[in-house]
Amino acid sequence: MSLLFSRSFGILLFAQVSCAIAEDEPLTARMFAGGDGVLDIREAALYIAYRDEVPLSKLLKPGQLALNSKDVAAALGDQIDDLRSATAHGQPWTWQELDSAYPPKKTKSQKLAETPKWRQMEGLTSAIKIGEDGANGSLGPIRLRKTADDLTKKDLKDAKGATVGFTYNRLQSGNGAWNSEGILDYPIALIRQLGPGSSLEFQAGPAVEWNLAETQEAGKNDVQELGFGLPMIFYWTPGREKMTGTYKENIAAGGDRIYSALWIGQVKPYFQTDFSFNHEIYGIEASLEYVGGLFGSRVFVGGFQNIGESGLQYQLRLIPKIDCSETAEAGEHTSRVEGDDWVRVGALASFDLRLGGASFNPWDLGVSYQFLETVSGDGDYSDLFKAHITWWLSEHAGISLNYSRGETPVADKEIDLLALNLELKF
Amino acid sequence: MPKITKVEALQRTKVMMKREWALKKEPASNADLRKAPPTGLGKNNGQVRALEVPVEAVDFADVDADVAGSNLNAADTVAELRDVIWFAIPKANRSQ
Repeated sequence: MSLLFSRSFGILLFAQVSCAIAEDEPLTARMFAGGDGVLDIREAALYIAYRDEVPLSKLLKPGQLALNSKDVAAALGDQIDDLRSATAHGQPWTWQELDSAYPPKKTKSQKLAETPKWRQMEGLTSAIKIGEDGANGSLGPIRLRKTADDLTKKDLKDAKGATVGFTYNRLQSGNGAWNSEGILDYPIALIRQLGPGSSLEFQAGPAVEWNLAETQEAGKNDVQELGFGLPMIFYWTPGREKMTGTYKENIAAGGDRIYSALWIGQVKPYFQTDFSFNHEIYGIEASLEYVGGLFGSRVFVGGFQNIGESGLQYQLRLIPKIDCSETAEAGEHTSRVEGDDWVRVGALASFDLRLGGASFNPWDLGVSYQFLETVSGDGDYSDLFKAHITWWLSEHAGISLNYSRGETPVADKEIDLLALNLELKF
Repeated sequence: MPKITKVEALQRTKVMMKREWALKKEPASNADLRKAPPTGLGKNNGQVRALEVPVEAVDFADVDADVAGSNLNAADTVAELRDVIWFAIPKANRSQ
């Protein structure tokens, strides 16, 4: 095989490569490296075009009968820039550099083919987009998560799943003990663009949540909570004053400051009872979370950040909260009495670590602490500590060890539970 | 009037991500935004959406990018994110 790279050469030379490759011979950049063993921009572009089966219509104008390697390099500008980014130098590149720095990527149709059919049901398991590419909002899909705080995490992998577990102590009377915690909702989102760097998305939808921690024989210590709510979530990017210099001036002025900023607010009117509909508590809860660099610093909150290149990630979340509620009916699964009401303020702080996900199934472990202090009405102070470690068997299911200690925030029921659970989410 | 090419838009996108997410180096254009590292960048929709601020006010301010924050979430890879930004730049500021 002889490849002579000139500024313009015929399709026949390009086709020669395909004839020269035996069916079982792996395609590598070496075949396009020419006599010097390295690839310049034009050679690299031709290799990528050949390997990724870039259509001729992207490389030739109608009526043009010969490939112009300069045009090929221009058409593959993104990929050439990736080589520069990955290798931290411009042309030429060794064929080994090219093969490791720019591996082939999957097409959209390949990605879609890998998505199971049950994940492609519009409106149920995938969103119906409103406007072009969902620019104005979306309907659905149904979501299963652990708590309302996990509804603000749109990405499945970042949310905690609903848990379910069962124990049966045969030395005791009773029918065994179930424990489960979760929330199921159907979000409807509407989006509006605002000023520079600013937009607002409003999301609402009915939700049902539950928290069950049975104790088999000693039923009076059971936690039984069944809630119906309408979580309304606001995603607001606040924007900032637009920089007025040239690109280079703006980047120099910005330094290494983080400008990303997103506020996520949640307001949730709710009604809570138990599984026998005995107690009745009405209320409204509101929370606010910031995603971005804390005060523009390098401390990122609200999302996972890499710890070096170890594959280990951490996440810090800080969520101030306010809860107002009234007890219309008392019951055995709440410590509250009929007619009481309160306004409580507090916060949830959580720290999570994640390992894996690329080469092995991910492990998530984390702790959270929530406190609420009464500022008006009955009751005083409640807090809830949670810890978990989860091994995800798939995107939707995992095995988790959960520990909860404190008081549940609405029914104010004491809980001290260590449970091995199946964890599910979608 | 400043103009940028599509490749320059990709370069700016990479520079922005490296700074905003404290990455060790610029990501590849086909790097997945959400998959776990080292395969992907391991970010979530909130973090991607929060880029609306630097896109419009810093990194693409000179070319008047006006991107819909929710559209940023439609991108799966760095190149797709660049595409969303590219189409949010007025045609007069795009150099084909």
